[in-house]
Formats: sequence, structure tokens, C-alpha cells
Amino acid sequence: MSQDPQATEEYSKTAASPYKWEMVVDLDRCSGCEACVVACHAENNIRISGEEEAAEGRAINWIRIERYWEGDYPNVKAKFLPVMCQHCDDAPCEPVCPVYASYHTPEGLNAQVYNRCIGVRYCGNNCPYVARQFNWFDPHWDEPLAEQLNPDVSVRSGGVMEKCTFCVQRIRSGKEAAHKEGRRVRDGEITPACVQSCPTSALIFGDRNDPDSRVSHLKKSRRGFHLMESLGTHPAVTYLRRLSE
Amino acid sequence: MALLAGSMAMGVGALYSIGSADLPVQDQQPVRFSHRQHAGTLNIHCQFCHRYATQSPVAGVPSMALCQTCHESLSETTPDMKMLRIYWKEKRPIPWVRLQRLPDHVYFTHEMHLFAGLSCTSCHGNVSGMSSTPRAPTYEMGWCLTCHEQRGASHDCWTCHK
Repeated sequence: MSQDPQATEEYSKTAASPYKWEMVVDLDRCSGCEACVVACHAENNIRISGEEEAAEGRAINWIRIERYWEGDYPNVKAKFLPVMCQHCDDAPCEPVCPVYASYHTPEGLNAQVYNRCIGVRYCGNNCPYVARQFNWFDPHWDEPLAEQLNPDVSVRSGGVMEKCTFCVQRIRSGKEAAHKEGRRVRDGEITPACVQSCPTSALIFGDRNDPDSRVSHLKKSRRGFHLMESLGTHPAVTYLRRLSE
Repeated sequence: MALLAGSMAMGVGALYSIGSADLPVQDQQPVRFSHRQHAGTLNIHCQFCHRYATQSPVAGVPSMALCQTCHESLSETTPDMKMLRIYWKEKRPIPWVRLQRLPDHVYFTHEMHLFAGLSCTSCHGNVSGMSSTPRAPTYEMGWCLTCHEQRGASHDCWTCHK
């Protein structure tokens, strides 16, 4: 295959600095519509649970909207907090895995290798954000839903822990496209399913190592904070406080 | 008759017990396509038929229309060429037996491997010398990693696992 030598050189210069993926959640924009939850289910082949399983805490969601009521009737306000895997730099779930199924990628993602997982659930117990979900049952999709499974994402069987990947399949294809053109991934080129589907653009995704990316600017905001910051997990998800508290 | 049925049942049972998908006897193609003839003698480039290799994860099996671009003007000198003509006339696709299949948890793309400068033969062997294409001996992780290590390619689990 012929490669443009200039482009290759350009790439090798920039490739020395790896990507660090970061998400920013602007709580002032979140309307709690759960479009992100639906998009995540569709994109990542997340198994469908019924009401009963959900009541027993067996339902799986890689992203959830936590709802808080504030104030007394009639001045009640609903406030929403989207929570997904925080992709912690110092992740409590990683050192406890006996088979290295849970590990940190060089790009700052907290990864789960499904075919390695033996289902001891230590990682899930150690996650302060309850972001990791265990498959208590084999997945099942009624026809014709099985036809819409995403071929770029493994279908996880029973006995395997799973979690948000920041849509690593989209990151991978974005990186491949950039690599073929001999450049770095452009800001906004890669959008995880939740980010893409958010009607109010409350979710922003990008490269923390790119000083001009939207996430780099937003995470410096005075409104920025991390969930359970005192634990020292150093999450890769930054939340922006509401403007009207 | 009972003996025949019994031995057949045993045969089928044996096939399942030792992993029937890996048996070479099952790799018989409906048309005895020869890579040696096409890629070797006729020197047709791999990507003339497997034309998605440089732009997609899968290399692609050629459509019958593509076969016909050449075969339409050829006389049927062998039984297999006659078979091909029958499939074409009856508008039936050839039910090729798929030989290489990676597990669901593996992400592999032909596109990036060709872009990295690998040739088809690096993984598929000297196909242009094979009259019938056998199942690849192994496409296992250790085998992939050997090459990744030698070429300084990524070792990150999530490069290939999904």
C-alpha cells in the first residue's frame, strides 16, 4: 500500500502524544430525557430486562439518569444526573481483578475484556459509582430485535461483567480513519452514542491531551467537579454544576 | 439397514464430539474453485475479486456477476465451469463454505493490516499455489501477537478485543 510520506511523518510526530479520552457532562443542560440511555442500549447490544429483573437489581444500564426531587410541593424541582463509568485514572475496579480482565488502556479508558472475565464480581463491588453491571443471565432479544445487534460490539453472555466503554468501537474507527489520513483525530470527530443522541448537547466528548479541544476548555470551568472527588479516583468524566442552584 | 443407520449416527456423533467445524472433509466447496488457476496461472490480483479488503474489515467474497465478467466469454471446459453457469442461469448464489471465522470477541480489519503494508500472503499463505483452499491452520491470539510484537504494533487488549 502506498502511503504519503509527508503525511506519515506528520502523524509520527503527533502520535508521540497519545490520546486521553474525557467526557464532560453539563448538568445545566441535562433535561433527563434518557435519550442517551436508549442510544447506549442500541449501540452496545445491552440485554433487555423486564420489570421483574429490574426490580431485583438485575437490569443492565451502562448509563443511567439519577433523579433527585428538590423543594416542597408545589415548588418541586426535578434534577438529573447522568452517571456512566467514570473511567477513573486510579480506578478501584482494576487492581482487584484476579485475571486482568479489568485494566487501564494507554488512552485512559477503563477497559473490560469480556472473554477474559470469569465473573468473580470483585470489580463491581469495588466500584463506588455502581457503573459495572453483571450479566446474571444470558442475553435474549425477541425477533426482530436480534437483527439490529451491532456487529462491532461483542454480545456478552451470562457470568460476565460489563460496563460503559466510551463506545470504544467508535473511538477505534475514528482513530483508524485519522491514521489512514496521517493525522490526529479531530475534536468532535468521535462521538459515543450517548453524546451523539443528547438533544441538548449536555454531553461532550474529546481528547484531554489536545489543549484546543472542547473538553479541555470545559473541564477548566469553575463549574467543574468530579463525582465523589474525595475518593481520589481521578475520573475522566467532569461534571459542570447547574447555573441555577 | 439398522446397522447402516447406527453407523451413520455414530459417525455424526463423532463429528460433533471432535468439533465438526474443524474437519477438513467439511470444507468441500460447492464449486471446486482453484486459487492456483486464478491467482497463480492467470495472475489475477487478490483484490480484483476480494475487492473490499483495502476499505473494510472484511475482504469480501466476489459476487457471481463479478465471476461472470470473465466467465461469460469463456467456454465451459470443466464440470465446475458448467456448475458455475448453472448457478448463474438459475440466479442462485453459490453456497460457499466459509473457512475463516474469528470469534465474536475479536475485532479484526483487513483494511488496517493492508494499510500497514502487510501482504495477503503474510497471513493467508501462498494461496496462488493452492488448487483447493484449506482452512487456515491457526488464527489464534499468540500468532497475532508475535507479528504485533515484531512490527511494534499495539499490544493494548482493546485494539483487537471488543
